[in-house]
Amino acid sequence: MNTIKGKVREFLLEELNLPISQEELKDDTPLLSSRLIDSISALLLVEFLEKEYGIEFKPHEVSHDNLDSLDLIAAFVEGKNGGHA
Amino acid sequence: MHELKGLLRQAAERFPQRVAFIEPGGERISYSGLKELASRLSGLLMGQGVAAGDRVGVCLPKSILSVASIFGILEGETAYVPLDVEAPAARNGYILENCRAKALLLEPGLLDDYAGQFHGRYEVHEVPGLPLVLLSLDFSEAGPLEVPEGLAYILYTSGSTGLPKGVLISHSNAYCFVEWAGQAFGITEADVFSSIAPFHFDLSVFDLFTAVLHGASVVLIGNQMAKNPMQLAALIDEYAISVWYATPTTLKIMLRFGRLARYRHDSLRIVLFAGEVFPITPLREIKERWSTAAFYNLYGPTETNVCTFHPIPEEIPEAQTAPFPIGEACPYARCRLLIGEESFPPEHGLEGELLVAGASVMAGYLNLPERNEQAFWQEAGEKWYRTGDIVRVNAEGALEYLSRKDRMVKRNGYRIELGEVESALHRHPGISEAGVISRQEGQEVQIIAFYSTKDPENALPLLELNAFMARQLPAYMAPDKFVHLAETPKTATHKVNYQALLQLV
Repeated sequence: MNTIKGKVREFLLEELNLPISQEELKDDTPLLSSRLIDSISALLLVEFLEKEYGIEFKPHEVSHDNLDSLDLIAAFVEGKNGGHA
Repeated sequence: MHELKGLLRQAAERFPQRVAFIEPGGERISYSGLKELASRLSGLLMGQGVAAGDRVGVCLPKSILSVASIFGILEGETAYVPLDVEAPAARNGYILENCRAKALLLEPGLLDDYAGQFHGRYEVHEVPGLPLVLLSLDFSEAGPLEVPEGLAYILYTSGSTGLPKGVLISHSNAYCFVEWAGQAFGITEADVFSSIAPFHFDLSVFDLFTAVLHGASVVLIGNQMAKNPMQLAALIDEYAISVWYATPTTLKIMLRFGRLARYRHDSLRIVLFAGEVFPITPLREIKERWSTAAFYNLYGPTETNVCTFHPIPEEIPEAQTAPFPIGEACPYARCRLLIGEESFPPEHGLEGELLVAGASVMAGYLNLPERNEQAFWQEAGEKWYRTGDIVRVNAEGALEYLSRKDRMVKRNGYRIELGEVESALHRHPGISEAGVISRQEGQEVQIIAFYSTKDPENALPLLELNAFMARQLPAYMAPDKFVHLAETPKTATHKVNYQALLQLV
């Protein structure tokens, strides 16, 4: 399992208490546009990612484009880390 | 002349080259440029048969073009009806029919969603060179409508019966607030405003019209950026913003996530907040950070515009834990308290429903005679708007907000009638009964939707429920939690038992 997606999935389900099952939360399940997570939860997710992966979001990077699914989140983190998770 | 429509013309004469509106990272337009664009749009509308006294909808993302649309509509002596560009087309379609809009200025990408709402009674006109389409609309089949003269705009707010209701605001209702605010906060052409609230939210009236009255500049902040505290924090320094008007929720989120310590933020001169209670701890914290700014609490339902205000003292006493009062009446407004079946002038110790009269109070709700009967209290031949807010008068004569007397809740300053959320749930084909309650969770209000299904054994999948609600209601009204019940608890009179639902969470 991709470790970024695994860790983010765990964070979403256990820390943000997303009310869906592990199986329902697929890699491409929309998170923000489906209203599964609200804008404050998205900011908590950003904090988690910054701490966990030692990266920093620029203000404009906190957006649906980078946060709307596990796929997008993993791609963004990998891009920030020069391809190393 | 106490009208909004002349403001842009005056500003264009006095400050033709001054920057009027700015799109962050993009275009900016001068007052003379804005006047020209507004006049062009006004001409286009008139060319399609829109006439004085009509209503025109605006469904565009926040931009120079949406600002020009609003001023263009006002120039033609028509009233603007601002729509939430992210709200479901069905809800906006209802609003346009409800006010018998003659035209709609629409984001081109939304045309397919909206075309289905008008049952063939519309014509599409492309506007060369501008990213909008003009739809002329024909709601004559819905019957005639009486609207008061001098109408400037209609703001739709959540309705307890399940449908939004239109608040009718005239030029003079709006102008008294706009003029007072300019004087009270010492606004000049050197000021740079933020425009955080969307145009369908009444906070935007100050950002748009007080700024234009004084020839100030306005930084336009769209929906996505308004939810991004890091971008908000960066904008203040980038554009040297001096006037910041936001809900306490926005300010709290900036404090928590905005990395404020990285910025100077010393251009801020005036910080206004409204729409909900600001707890004292985060207020104290942001006030200490933004030490160059004077802070004010503004209060007023959409129906009265801002009608009371309270300056926040330079130093907030350490011992203070209660939120600041909503304050005393603005010069154009008067307040009374309704206690039982009698009303009283505000005197120390009294507690009751706040009544407001004066120049800023709406003419009424559009086409809702029964609701208008209930909305006003008659006293000495005058109409007093019943706010539904329970207040108390403190020893200094200032009003303190205590609670609501009905099922309305607020989130980020937006009004939400729980009855409207319930009605939306009832429209789901699989739902047999629903009851929606709110609960205070720390500083946040949570909306919890209980529902029973026609097949009592099976709950509906959350993703499907979310998607269904997204087609019915704007995002800010969406429940935080759905709870499936085999049977919804009832009172002895067979109504939903909300007290029992509260026990279940």
